[in-house]
Amino acid sequence: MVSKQEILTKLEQVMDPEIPGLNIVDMGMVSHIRIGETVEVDLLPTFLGCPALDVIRRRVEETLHEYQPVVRFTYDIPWSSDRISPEGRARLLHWGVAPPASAEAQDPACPLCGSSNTEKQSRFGPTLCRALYYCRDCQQPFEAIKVI
Amino acid sequence: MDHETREALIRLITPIADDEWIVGHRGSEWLGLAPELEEDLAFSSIHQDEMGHALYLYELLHDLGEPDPDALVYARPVASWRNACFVEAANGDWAATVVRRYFYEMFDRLRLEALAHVDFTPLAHGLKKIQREEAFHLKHFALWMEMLAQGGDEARRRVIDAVAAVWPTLSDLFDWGLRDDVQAQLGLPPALALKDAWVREVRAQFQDWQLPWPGEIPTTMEHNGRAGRHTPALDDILTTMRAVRVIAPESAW
Repeated sequence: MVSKQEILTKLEQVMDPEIPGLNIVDMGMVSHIRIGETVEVDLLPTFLGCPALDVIRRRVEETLHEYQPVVRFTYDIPWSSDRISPEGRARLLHWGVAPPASAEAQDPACPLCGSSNTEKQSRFGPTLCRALYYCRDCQQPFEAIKVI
Repeated sequence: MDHETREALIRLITPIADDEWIVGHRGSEWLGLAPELEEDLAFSSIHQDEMGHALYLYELLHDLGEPDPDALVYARPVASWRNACFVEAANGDWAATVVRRYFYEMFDRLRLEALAHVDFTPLAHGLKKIQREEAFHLKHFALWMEMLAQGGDEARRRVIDAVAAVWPTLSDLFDWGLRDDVQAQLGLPPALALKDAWVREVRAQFQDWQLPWPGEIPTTMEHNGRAGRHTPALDDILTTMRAVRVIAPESAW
């Protein structure tokens, strides 16, 4: 029988279609894996209106097709930006998107130069989960994952 | 679940889903037209959220025995929609959109809080998720209200005119669309309490922004969306929204 770890490793191949390089495990979207006669995967939607949800579900089904998985979105736990793993935060940073700021910090540090001298420009960015910021030190605009 | 409870939940959830869907649709009409690029992005995010909330609620309705979300949105006759007339009005001046959206978001926040008393787990799960997303929306429109109220003579005049224009159309928003006994049975506060709470919150913010208070909210209305008595604006939205579906019902989306 396949192990949970093997399933997780496979799920690390499924990327968030709106944030290349970040997989759904690091994004904290995988909430439960149950292995019995079938493999069941429960996913947490980041935002209810996220247009990538169907694509993600399809990619999970394709990736695990040999196990004929049952993949569904569940809502018992709301997804939170705290669920992004340390690896996920590092990948976001590498890709130029600031990881969600900690509760104490008002605004996220600049992902380009590391300065904390940043300001919010808009709560809404190019996708539901991102907001727009500006770095006063390196004078570059950047995006950050919303704290939710 | 017994038949009566199921019916009560359907009646409770339909107006909320319809409000969110119609707000989402009206918001989408601003795309490419909003006053600045950042606002275009904000509108796209906010209204995508609203439509996502509506879809979640339509799926709950489907689980309770109603037709599937596509049928509810694309095939339901106008008189079966339960959104408030307040949200269906056509877009016009940007200030009117800001006022309407701020009023709606404040109402929606209070409604979500009131719904926490309803004992139906799938609804409770969705609400927790929805509340996290809606907090961003209310802040956004409150900020716009403040910018317009304190943004110079023209902006201030436009926001005051917009408040006066939409004020007489507010009242069906606060109607749960339920019989009093059903409403009490579900654990919901009376419509009046919801309205009082809304007035308190909005009035305090109007004071901060130094906007004149328009007075009592008129309660007599020719139209009441919660009873299916809509303005012609809803027919216009549905006709536009369904245009492609009508031409090519079998097309893939």
